[in-house]
Amino acid sequence: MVKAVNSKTLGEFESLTKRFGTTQALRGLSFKIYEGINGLIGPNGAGKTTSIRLSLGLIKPDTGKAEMFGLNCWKESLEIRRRIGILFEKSAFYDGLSGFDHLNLIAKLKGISKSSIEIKRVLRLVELEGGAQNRKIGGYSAGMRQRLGFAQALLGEPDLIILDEPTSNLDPLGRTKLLNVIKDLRKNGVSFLISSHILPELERVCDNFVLMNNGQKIREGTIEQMLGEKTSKTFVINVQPADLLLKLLKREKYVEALSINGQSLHVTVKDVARFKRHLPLLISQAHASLDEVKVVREDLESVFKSAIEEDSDGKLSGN
Amino acid sequence: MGNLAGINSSLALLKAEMKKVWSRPILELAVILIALISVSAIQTLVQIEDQSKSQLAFQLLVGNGVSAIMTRQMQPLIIFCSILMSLSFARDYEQGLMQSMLSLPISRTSLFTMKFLAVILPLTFLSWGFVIFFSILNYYSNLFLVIQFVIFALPIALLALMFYGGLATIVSLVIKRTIPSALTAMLTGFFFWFITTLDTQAIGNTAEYLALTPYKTPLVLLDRTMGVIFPPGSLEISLPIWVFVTLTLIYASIFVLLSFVYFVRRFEVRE
Repeated sequence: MVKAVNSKTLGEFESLTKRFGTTQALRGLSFKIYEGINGLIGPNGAGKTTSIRLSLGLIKPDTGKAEMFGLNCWKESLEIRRRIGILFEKSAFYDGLSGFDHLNLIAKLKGISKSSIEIKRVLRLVELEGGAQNRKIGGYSAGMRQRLGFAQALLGEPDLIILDEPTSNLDPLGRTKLLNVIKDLRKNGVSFLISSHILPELERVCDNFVLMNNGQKIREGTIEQMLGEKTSKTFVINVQPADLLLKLLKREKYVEALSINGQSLHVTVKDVARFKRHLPLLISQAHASLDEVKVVREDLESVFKSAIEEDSDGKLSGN
Repeated sequence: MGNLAGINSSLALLKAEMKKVWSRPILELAVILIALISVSAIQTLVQIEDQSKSQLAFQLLVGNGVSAIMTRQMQPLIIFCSILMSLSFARDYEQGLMQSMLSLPISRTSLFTMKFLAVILPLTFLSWGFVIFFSILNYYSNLFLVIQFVIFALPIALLALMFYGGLATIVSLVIKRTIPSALTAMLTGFFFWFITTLDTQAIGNTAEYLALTPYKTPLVLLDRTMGVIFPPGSLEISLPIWVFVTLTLIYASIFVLLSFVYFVRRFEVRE
């Protein structure tokens, strides 16, 4: 039975488990996919690709609930696949066909009318038009195959596009262009689920993140929520003169690391609250004039690293 | 309109699958090997002395000739069926094309059917084409009679190949590796062929029942429909023809159904 589609939530995974032989791939995984750009991050073997396959009905969960657009991912996968475009990390095509002919076949399978206009549109978006579209795919470079896979995912303007490591074979220029296309499509109402190891790229485009490790979700939220949970402990203090303040800070036990570059002091502290309380006093004692104090913003990569470390430490201590 | 679009997309998929599976040099090798095997099965015309029995003798000769070509063809067909099914299912799985195709809005039923037909149909028509070609070449004096006979050969070739195709498909889907699945399917296929080569001297009267094995049954059915003479009292002639028809249909469908149900209900992309 087709249920009403939630306007905000596109997919919902609840308490999913999946075992492959002796490997427990998913351990009670729960997360939601929202309208917008969703980032799926985690180390190798975290269960990202397994989750993607689950969403398309390529594998069946052992236990738990997996729904996309309110439909059961295993039983109603055909209807789900009509609304999803997918680019896998390992893109495979009918290598004997030209890029255009391959897309023409996919367009027919997707039931797209006026397929040739649509194919030209997606080929233009991924910059594979012209001579490249008529060459056999077997002769394509890894980057061209990646772009063809992206074009295939875009065909038919699906509601959700899933990209598994979309930039892995692209050069820096190609990556930037692809991210720009994603952002443009987002403006037109297309949603994405992107799994990638290149976190700075995800940070640039994603509205929502799911951080996975060992087949479980360990964090979820917007970039602000992800970074907010991890308060930055590194500061840059621009003062004149800086030398005396440097000496005073060295004596403080809560200071973890300290360096000076001209009039800029880089301080990493253990206790942020204490540092913030204490800093005006220290500046006054050093007879220095403060220009500015900047918080060195944590990035997704450092959040990722510390979250994985915390998760692993927690498991070790639990054991 | 919807049905027409569905048929169009299925045909487009069938065409793409055929182009992929029958790429160079597979087609060329299959043509050469099946042609050579068919040539070796041609029986030369003997002089028919008794004019009053000439028509009957000629009919028997054509029947025997068509049956001999088809029997001989079975061995290369087992080899090609195993290799091509493995290429179609296991290699696609290994290379990720199966994953890509299963992620598209196409039913598993359609995908299975088109992949299966992309191997079976060309092999059937290749086999049948050579049966027609060499039969006409050898017995051209009575074309009408030859055509009557070779018409029976088409469904028999299809049904016989469906058994080996189904077997190779289930092996490919379970093993999921190109070379191991091709070898396993080939060995299993030849096992069914090998047991039919045992004769009464080796295993006594039990050998008679080998006529009911998956390899022999369609060929016995072909022989019966073409009036080939068997020794009186043998199982081939003593059993009614519907037994061979039923058994051939069962053999043709057993592995196809098994692999179809497995693919549609249980098959998962895990790597």
